Amino acid sequence: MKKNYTRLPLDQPHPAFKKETAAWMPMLQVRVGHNHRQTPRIAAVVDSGSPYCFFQSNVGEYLGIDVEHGIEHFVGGITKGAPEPVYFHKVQIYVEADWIVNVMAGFCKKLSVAAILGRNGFFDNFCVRFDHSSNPPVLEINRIDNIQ
Amino acid sequence: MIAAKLYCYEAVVEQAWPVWEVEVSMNNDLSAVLEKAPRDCWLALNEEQTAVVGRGETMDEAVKEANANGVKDPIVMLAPKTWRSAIY
Repeated sequence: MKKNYTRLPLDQPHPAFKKETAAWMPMLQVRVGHNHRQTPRIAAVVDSGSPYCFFQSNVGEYLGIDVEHGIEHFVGGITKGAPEPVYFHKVQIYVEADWIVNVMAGFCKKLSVAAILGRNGFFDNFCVRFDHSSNPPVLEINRIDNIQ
Repeated sequence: MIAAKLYCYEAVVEQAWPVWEVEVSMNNDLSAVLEKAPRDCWLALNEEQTAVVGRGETMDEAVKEANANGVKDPIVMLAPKTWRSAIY
């Protein structure tokens, strides 16, 4: 599946790239499932720099998950400042309209986006290609067959 | 069908949530619709991603407002205080 990047506003252009007034982000729409409940479609950032999949805690609460009873771990780099507690739970992620993957995902109160699709759970289930040769940039994902 | 939808959104403007609707191309350009949308909250967009149809302190609130505005299956996202090029 190929999908154009999503263009988001930029309040303050980067001082080194002053002409850029918007940011192109690789994003997919996902639903999260847990115990027969499912979220609406959530705009999720595809981020190869993230070791895990993360969701804002509120996504877990929407699903009826007792977020803080998950496996606790402090993770830095996904929020500003000091490492924040993240609570891991097993969930299903419905990627666009095409695929379902079972993932151990972290839920964090201070996440600044709704969802991040990271290496463990997403990149180990999909071949992902970021193509910046076109305008807008394109994200291509394909399910890895031997995992299905 | 399109006319009916547009009429629906116009009606919504008066009844509940002020809907920002802008023309977008097929390239997932949300910059215009999000630029003027509320910050530091959950937002619900219509299926075409051309309008904010709900907001809330929680995802549930945003979805309920979208449903009240006639959008049954919205796309939700978290709007930061400041839109930046980095997500952290």
